[in-house]
Amino acid sequence: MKFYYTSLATILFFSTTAQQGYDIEYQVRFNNAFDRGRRDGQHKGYLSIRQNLTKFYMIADEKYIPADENDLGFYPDTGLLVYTDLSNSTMIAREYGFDGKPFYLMDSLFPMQWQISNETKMIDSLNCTRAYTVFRGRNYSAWFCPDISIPSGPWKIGGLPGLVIDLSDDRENMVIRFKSIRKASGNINLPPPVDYTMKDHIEKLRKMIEKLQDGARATGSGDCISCQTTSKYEFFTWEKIPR
Amino acid sequence: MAAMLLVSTVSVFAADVKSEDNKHVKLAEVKAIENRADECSMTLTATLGPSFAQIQVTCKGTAATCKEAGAIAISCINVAKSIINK
Repeated sequence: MKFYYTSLATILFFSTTAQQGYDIEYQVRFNNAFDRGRRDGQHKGYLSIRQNLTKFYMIADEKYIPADENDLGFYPDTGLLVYTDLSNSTMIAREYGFDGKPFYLMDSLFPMQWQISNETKMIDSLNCTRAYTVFRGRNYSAWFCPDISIPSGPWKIGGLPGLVIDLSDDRENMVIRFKSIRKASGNINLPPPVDYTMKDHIEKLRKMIEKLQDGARATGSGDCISCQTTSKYEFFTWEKIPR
Repeated sequence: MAAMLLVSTVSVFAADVKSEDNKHVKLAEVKAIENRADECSMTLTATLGPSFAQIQVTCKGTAATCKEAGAIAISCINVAKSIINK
């Protein structure tokens, strides 16, 4: 009976506010050393939904402390900033260059194929269903809420018949847990459209890898006849670059 | 008697390595393997770039002295830095 009342309350909450927006808060654990080891950091994730527009970003709970002086990774306080406009199927994501400067790129809106399972569970007061997908080289499991008929979710994840409130990859490098949802108002201001696409970005990264490999070969030459070097450049991207 | 020149393998991880001019060369991970009295190998690993797209550079230097080997490895890291910052 409790389940009935909870579900009814949930439906009423979302059906009576169909024209309003929502703010969803998540707790995010992200392994900064993905594919190389473990160095987990905690973040707060925020998803704002206003009619056809969404905005997601996450803020680190604590400042990243480099492992040593050779850890020259750039860890922005605010990461994974992604906007979507469901009315024209666009996604704009912010990336960072190796110089630490941010830029925007256009990405595909929810290109992933989902397998919706029969698994269900209550998360907070929300009735959720589990779904699985592979996106940019990683396997994800998502819990979405059919009662909240918004096909969005944290980061670039979406395209399900309900809001994604819980997400994790199979190695738990990225674990996004639901914390709260509340009604909200106000606008989302999208950044201006850009010509630079994810495809362009992948091509740019590929060229950089080639340059680095050439650089590694060049390092072996020089005046020092007795010196030898066998350098190796390994590129790690959260969204894996197709070979 | 050449075998007498062989010394034990020495591995040093995440340690300060004192170079010949008594300056400390701090390396993230150093494997100083002296398998010959007249040669030193060093491996320097560095992580470069933004959090969601990083390059891990592993530069190895082998030279007559540890100081020289360290310089090769550091030079390699600097090459990587200059390329990705362009």
